[in-house]
Amino acid sequence: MFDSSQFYEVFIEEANEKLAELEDGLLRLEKDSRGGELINTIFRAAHTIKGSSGTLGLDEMSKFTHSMEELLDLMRSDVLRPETDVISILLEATDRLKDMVAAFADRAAFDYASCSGLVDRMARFLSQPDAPQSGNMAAEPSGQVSASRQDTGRKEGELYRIIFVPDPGILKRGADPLLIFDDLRENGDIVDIKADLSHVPALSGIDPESLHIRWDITLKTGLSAPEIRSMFEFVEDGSEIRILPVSAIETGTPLLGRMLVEEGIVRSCDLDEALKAQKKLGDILVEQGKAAREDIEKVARRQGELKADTARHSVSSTIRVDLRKLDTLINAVGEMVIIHSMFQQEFHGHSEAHGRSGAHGKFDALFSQLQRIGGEIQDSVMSLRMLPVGDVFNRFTRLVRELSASRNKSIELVISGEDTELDKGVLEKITDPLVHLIRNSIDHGLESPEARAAAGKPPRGMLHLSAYQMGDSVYIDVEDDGRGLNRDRIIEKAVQRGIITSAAGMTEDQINELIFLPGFSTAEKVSDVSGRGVGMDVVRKNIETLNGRVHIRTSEGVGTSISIKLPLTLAIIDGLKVLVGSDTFIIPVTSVVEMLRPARDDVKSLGEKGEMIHVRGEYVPLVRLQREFGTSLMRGNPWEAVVVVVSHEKRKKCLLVDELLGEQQVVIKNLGTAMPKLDDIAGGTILGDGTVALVLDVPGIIERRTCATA
Amino acid sequence: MAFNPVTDESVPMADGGQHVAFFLNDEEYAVDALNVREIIELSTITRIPHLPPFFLGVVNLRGSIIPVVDLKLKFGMRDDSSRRHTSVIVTEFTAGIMGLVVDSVTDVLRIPDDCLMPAPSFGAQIDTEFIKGLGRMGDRLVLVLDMNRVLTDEEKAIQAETMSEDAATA
Repeated sequence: MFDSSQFYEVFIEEANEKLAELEDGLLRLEKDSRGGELINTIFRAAHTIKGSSGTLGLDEMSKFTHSMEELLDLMRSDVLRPETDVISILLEATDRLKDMVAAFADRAAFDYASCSGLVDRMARFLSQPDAPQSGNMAAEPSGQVSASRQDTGRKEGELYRIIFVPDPGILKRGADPLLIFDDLRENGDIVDIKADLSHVPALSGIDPESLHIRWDITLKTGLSAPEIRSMFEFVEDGSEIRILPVSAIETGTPLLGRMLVEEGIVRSCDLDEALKAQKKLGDILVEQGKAAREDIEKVARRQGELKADTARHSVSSTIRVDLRKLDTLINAVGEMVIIHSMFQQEFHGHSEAHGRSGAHGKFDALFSQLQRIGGEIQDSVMSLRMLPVGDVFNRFTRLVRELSASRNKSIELVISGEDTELDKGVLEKITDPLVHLIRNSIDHGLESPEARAAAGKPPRGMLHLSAYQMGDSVYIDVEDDGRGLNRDRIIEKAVQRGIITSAAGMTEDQINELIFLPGFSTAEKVSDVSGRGVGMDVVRKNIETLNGRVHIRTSEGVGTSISIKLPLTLAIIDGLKVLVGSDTFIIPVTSVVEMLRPARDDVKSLGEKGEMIHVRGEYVPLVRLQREFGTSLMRGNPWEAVVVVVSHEKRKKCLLVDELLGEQQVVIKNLGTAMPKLDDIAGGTILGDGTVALVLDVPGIIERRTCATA
Repeated sequence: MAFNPVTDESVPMADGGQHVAFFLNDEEYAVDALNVREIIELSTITRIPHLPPFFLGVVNLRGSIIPVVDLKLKFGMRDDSSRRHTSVIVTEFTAGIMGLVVDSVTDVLRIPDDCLMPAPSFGAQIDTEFIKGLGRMGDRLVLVLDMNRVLTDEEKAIQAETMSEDAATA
């Protein structure tokens, strides 16, 4: 029918989204087994995956999801309680689904046969004694369950008129409306169905990939209107779906009104008017004294709530945008802001040269307005890239659950500040370090229930994951109430590894910092996830590439808290603008320790080994940027110029610059893909006057020169 | 100054073969117009340390930063500064976007592939390996550059340069 390859991406994206919803929902359900709407959400997620995988011809996957859906359906109808064992098996199935989607994304084959055991185990739940039917259900679960639902549908079914006007572009999104009809048939009797071809354009105007057919379906089912709507969820975007309860009449007989219209006796608009004049069911019942008004109103309110619920689900408050489009926009806005400041410079230069005229004040006022709006646009555009950290945090609920189970520890994960927003790029890169920190806490920090009881602590360990914003930074804290870091063991290990010779004169902070050094691990036992000694140094490295900082606080026996400080966005950094020869460079402020003009006596030349500068009791190697970068020399002597002390992983260098030009926020940009990999330069930025300034790669500068002298 | 070769009416938009012609000193060269994004006036260049001299640095192209290469320096031609009327041809290749600094852009020419003669092994001021062929339009001779070769060579030259530099500092 259509080439589905272009929908793969959409499908993968959607499936991953729904899988996250599924997992999150299941975990929440475990905590709070009452959630009726929650089960519906989970069910819808599974249903969507089933539908879309079926559309793409992934029948095995669709079938597998169907098994999950059946379990969820039993839960939805309160036949099956969401006990831990059911949740576990559903989580396991979610994992398998993830594997399937991942395999699909890699265009790799997936061994569906490996899931058969899981499918059998799921089927066993369906045939448990408290399930509605037993016997051969495991052999053919799907037929049985839908049959049972059809039975209830027949007994107490209601008639609904469903008007389905699909979005003409629906086929391009990979949705197959025909699947809806299968679904409807499974869940009730389609009493009548009509395809409305009146909107199909003339043959010459037909776009074979657009859908212009509309349907008018009369369905008899035991499901409620929201439940019917949930079947349309996959095709809902852009489509018009109206589900109208039809007042009870006998099955099989067409509606009188419709017959009248069809016979040409009444016009349909007149009929609609007449129908509107009909009394509401509740009013009739009250009039006849069959029910009390209060009772009916109460039920009607509930119906209203249900309707509102449906509305909330059908109107999405978000749209999906390709990140590249967003970045193009961000670029354009950044450029606009730069042009604004260029214009301002020109304008003021001009008015100073030519004197102020009457028009000047007006221009100035208008321009400052323009600038203000520009700034607002920039802020809101930057905020488009921001995502709540909750997206990442929620994944950890699962991780903690699994890890605490496998380590026989009882751990409660408390999450706060999920709404705190971070740049998408930062958020993606922070996930792995956080996983590591959480694993460390569970493996090494939090004790077993027995050990906790012995230490007089509650047996359930607490792991607190929180995020908050302060100033231009976002902080993410991972806090546990475990045993804390053992100071003596850290020192012992560090001495043993030759990292330090003794801990004399070291502050608590400095000792704690030792665990971030490469090759350091205090774990006595190597577990499968942590304790290989590659942990904390990688964590710190990852965070430093994001221009972030890690800080650790610990108290023995009370707990450990690791605080990660991150810039709001990857692209914007605080920069120190310096002049080297005639060129302007930016040094990221995060790596600057101090700036000073050394005394003549503090500069020592060590001949071949280069020069050192005496800074507060230590000798720091000097890097003459002018000489190395080949810029025109201005001031050759450090005591006439300025020295910027920078550090990276405890190693310091003095960068010799000619002048400090001040501090400013800069947007880091790459120098184009055609640019070869550069030493000493991390990127570029565009200054207010439209010229490009290069941003120094401080870690690179230090590392390269340390290796060279070693 | 920017122009769009597609809408330039003086040039028939027939079957490809469109080239942007420019001068390096007094010789006329051309590159395939399909690789040309736009032509801009040379603005302030920011020099980049540790790169060979023909790599002039980077410029700001409406908010993005692009590297620029001086073709005359690149080809080892004498720099006749009196002719300088510098324009930058912004080209786009698989490797990315790169600006080529040339003396002046003259024309958009249609040079079909079958009109290309093999490059003469002498006469031109530059190494023939960068030349795809010689186009003759009346009495006008245009050397057509094989930009992909120019650019891959670029990378190699820089790698060699930085390596020798490392060796020198080590």
